Amino acid sequence: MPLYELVCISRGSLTQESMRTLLKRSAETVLDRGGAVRGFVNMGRDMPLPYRMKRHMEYHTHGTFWLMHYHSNPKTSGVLMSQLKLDPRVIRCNVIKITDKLSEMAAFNAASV
Amino acid sequence: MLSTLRTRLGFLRPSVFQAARRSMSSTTGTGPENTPIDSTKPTNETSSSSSSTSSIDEKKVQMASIMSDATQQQKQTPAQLSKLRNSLIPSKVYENATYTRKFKAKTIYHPRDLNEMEVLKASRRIPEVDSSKDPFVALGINPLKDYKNTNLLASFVTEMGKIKPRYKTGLTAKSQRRLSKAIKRARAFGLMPVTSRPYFMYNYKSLGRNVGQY
Repeated sequence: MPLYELVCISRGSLTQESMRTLLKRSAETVLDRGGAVRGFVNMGRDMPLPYRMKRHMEYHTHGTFWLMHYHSNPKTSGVLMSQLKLDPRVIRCNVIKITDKLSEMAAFNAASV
Repeated sequence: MLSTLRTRLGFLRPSVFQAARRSMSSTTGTGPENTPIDSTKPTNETSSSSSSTSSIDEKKVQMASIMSDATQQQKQTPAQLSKLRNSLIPSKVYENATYTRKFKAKTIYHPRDLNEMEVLKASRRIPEVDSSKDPFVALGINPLKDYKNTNLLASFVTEMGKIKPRYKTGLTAKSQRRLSKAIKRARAFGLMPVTSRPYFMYNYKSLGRNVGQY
């Protein structure tokens, strides 16, 4: 199964509790459909956005950046995307396929800290 | 004295008068000066401006004589004509050139280097990119995999956030394509500003070492 990377910007004003549930929900979406979650990476909590973004009838200037690396089938990836787009806590989310090759997956080393 | 000479020997060329004048007036020192002649002025044999120096007049006269010969004969080849003309080109022609170049002694020049147009063309041509000087090639990095590294991408973007063209970045075509793709991706994902250069970066260190390249 290919390795994917979810780059997500969620609302800056989220509490840690709601943040946790959001992450858990996205991981469960992958796991329930026979995927594997590799890990999460925090890129910054409540950071200023590069430009003003409008989502869910609101303008946003700050957000939390985070990544999720996971293995899944392409269909599951699409389902995850559509789910997150509906979520009001999420400003922007994009999924990128990192690689198909096993050697590159093995070499991939995210959040080794 | 001079006037009588003129009236008597009116059919002779003015160059004779120049020689005569020079021999007569030795004290009045207007020696031959190296002032440039305006070769575009039409030379007139009869109108000899007495104030000008003898060398210029001589040259003018020579030019005029050659021109008159040419018109009379009309059989001189263009090569011969140009040869004659070139031998009398004054220094002012080079002063008016749009491109001045210092030619050093003891160096070999190609005929191409002497042609002004060719040199200007060469200077306008975009220099070929040396792939060894491409930072991505040298480090073995795929810029597209580093789309999250806005600090790296910032150096290839102008103050206004525009992607720099290849002749400014000095990258190979392949690298430039991948880099621009990475920048566009970063903009779309909301990681990089569109109308300005990124001046701060999120916590890239949390991503760990060698995170972009795998």
